[in-house]
Amino acid sequence: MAKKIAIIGTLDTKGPEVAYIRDLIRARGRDTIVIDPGVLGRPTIAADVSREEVARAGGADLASLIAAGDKGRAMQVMIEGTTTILARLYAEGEVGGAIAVGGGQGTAIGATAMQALPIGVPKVMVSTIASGRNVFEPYVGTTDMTLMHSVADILGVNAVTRRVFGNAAAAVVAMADANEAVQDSGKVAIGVTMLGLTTPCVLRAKERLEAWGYEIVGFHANGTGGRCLERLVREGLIQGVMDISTQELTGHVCRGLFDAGPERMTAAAELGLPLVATPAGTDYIVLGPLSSLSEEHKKRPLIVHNPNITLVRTARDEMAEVGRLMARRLNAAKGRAAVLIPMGGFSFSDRPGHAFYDPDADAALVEALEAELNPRVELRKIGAHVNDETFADAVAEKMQAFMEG
Amino acid sequence: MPRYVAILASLDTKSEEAAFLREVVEAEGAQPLVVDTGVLGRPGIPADVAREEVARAAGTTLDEIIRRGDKSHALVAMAEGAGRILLRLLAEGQLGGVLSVGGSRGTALGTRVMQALPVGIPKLMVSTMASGPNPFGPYVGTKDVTLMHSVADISGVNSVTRPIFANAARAIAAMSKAGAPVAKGKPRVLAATMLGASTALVEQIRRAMTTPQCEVIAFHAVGTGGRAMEELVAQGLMDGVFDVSPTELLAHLVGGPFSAGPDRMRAAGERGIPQVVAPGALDFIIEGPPESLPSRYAGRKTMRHTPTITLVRSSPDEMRAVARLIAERLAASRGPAAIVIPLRGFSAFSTEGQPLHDAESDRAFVDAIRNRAPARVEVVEVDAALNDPLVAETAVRLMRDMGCV
Repeated sequence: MAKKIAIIGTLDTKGPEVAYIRDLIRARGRDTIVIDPGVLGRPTIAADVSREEVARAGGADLASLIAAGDKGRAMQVMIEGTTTILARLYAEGEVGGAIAVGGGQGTAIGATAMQALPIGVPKVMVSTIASGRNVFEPYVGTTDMTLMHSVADILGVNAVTRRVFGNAAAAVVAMADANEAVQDSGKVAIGVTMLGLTTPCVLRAKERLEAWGYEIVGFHANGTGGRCLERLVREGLIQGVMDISTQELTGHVCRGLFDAGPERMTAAAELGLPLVATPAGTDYIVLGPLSSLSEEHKKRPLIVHNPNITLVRTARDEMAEVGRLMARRLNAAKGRAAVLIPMGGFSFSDRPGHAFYDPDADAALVEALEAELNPRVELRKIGAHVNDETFADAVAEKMQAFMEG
Repeated sequence: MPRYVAILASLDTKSEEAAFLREVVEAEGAQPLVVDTGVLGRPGIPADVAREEVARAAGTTLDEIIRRGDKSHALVAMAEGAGRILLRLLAEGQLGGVLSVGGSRGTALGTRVMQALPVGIPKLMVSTMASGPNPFGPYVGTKDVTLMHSVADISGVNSVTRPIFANAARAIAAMSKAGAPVAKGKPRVLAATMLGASTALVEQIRRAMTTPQCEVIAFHAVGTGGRAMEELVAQGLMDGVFDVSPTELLAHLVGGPFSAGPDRMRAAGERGIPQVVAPGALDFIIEGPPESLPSRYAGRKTMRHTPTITLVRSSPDEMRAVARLIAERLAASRGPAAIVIPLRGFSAFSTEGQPLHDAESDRAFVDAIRNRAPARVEVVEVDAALNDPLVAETAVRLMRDMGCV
């Protein structure tokens, strides 16, 4: 029997909308489970998972939550409860996809809860919030969240929302069908981190590994990409990591914009997957508009990438700190790990005559690695620039050796 | 004959992805139409609509675009050409939906084309950009553009992108069979502008007006909503407007992030449909967090709405200015209009005893609108606050008096 579609909506204010979507999904041959994370008012249609159950799963009693009158805490409890229930329904094989509909609160609950589902399992959020100045991050995280702007307010089924809900219901059912039918290629997948200034290296290494029969999955090392890589490694979709562009370690140490948080470069190490790292892209910090920079940063070599992004050369002591962080991550590897250093420069702009050329600062990272790395972790210095073919070939060959060995 | 699912892709770099999407869309019984929006390199697969044809539809040639060598110009021109081709198909009843995949440039181009199409036609963009600190606004505009995060970079079909692309292709195929441009579901369709502070009023109006023959569609007056409403009014979807939260006019005149541009409150007048206007939520300017408030607001009453939103009490001068603007708009209207004024506060936050209470400013609005409203516009003062049933009843009566029952 086809798995069900979970529908998340606060039934005090969104009852008719949820009922409309539910009926459309059923008409398409999928059964539904309606989850009600509402707190105030009274549900206007029947839920399959009631608000009381949601509150309990979130660790609270609904009646006392209402009596306490703390909106922030109520939200938190209902988010946690919905997340727990959805994850359980998925794990039990009951649910094959989810759709949520809401405004500010409904989107905060629905889009957070759906982030608990693995990549490929449909997550459709129909929302007033998916527009204007609102940003994707809180609603998408590291997932394949699908956000559909409702155009009109979610207040009844009408000429505008009827079309939007109709499309959303069709989409979530079709995606659930697709997800259950999808076949993988049978190839072994290697995750690789990339950035504009290290692209030639990544493309060359990708080409080499693809020729050997591997599948390469690229992640943009802009803070989100690195987190997506870590998540997918943990979900089991990636079997090896070629961490060429480690800019996010600099982002974390130097508080740049491209910070993927404290978990970066941990998943492959913990799971014992082959890991080949390089310091490519650690030589600069990604910061905001030039006018927002500190005086100290303004004195360093910098590149105005666009009006919103300025690249600032990473200083010697910061490079040493990044090297130490990289060493800690690699030392924790339960499987094979290596780090390859392009001694001729770590990014497009880190070479003679270019803005970020600073062999002394780069050396600080290498010295830190040499001082701190376990002997188990191989460190290889290669007399080439990061974007020279010889370096890319060395990285690809090391990766292949790890994967086959 | 099945309608086309247009697949927009730059076939020099995204041919592998386009070929995969085409195959899945076709397998779902929909009719794919691959439109090549690329300019440089050579297409990796044959297009159904060639890049030369797209350039010609934009009133130029591919050679001319390449000669100019301006990437931004190329993007705008190819989007324009693709948009015109799709609008032509739509007019012929042959367009079922649009799907695109891309990184930053591909997303800018794809969503530009999608925003040219009416609400209701399915629009799905699979994008690396649908994540992190990027805002929705540029990609969604006032339309139901749906964004799906690609999680991994878009460089080939692999174990991460395959399920995501398959979901997207099946979703657009299913939506293309369900979707259609918005159309009236009932003989009479009315629009209403709404904010949290005026929700109770709009709910009462909606309940009073909703019959098997009539429905009310609410738009969140935070910039996007007002613009979406104006567009749908201009398209002829609406038979009347309850513009009871015209706060975007104040934002346009005074400031704050939620302006809907210079053309708010024009479309209804141009179409000649009845309008009932109330000064709902004109008692405050919506601004960012307290530390971001411009110094000109020093000494004003303010109210912390959320951590990122502060409401600033509007001054007598600002009230007079917005009253003048409303009077001008109504004077220019080709259809009938009426104004209802709640004398005991323009929102829930400025009734007596509330943080934004300011009888003098409210009075300034009432006097100015009385002086300036055209004689043919009935102005009704109600001795109640905005969300009082009396105001809703009056608004409904005025709309009915103008023939909208």
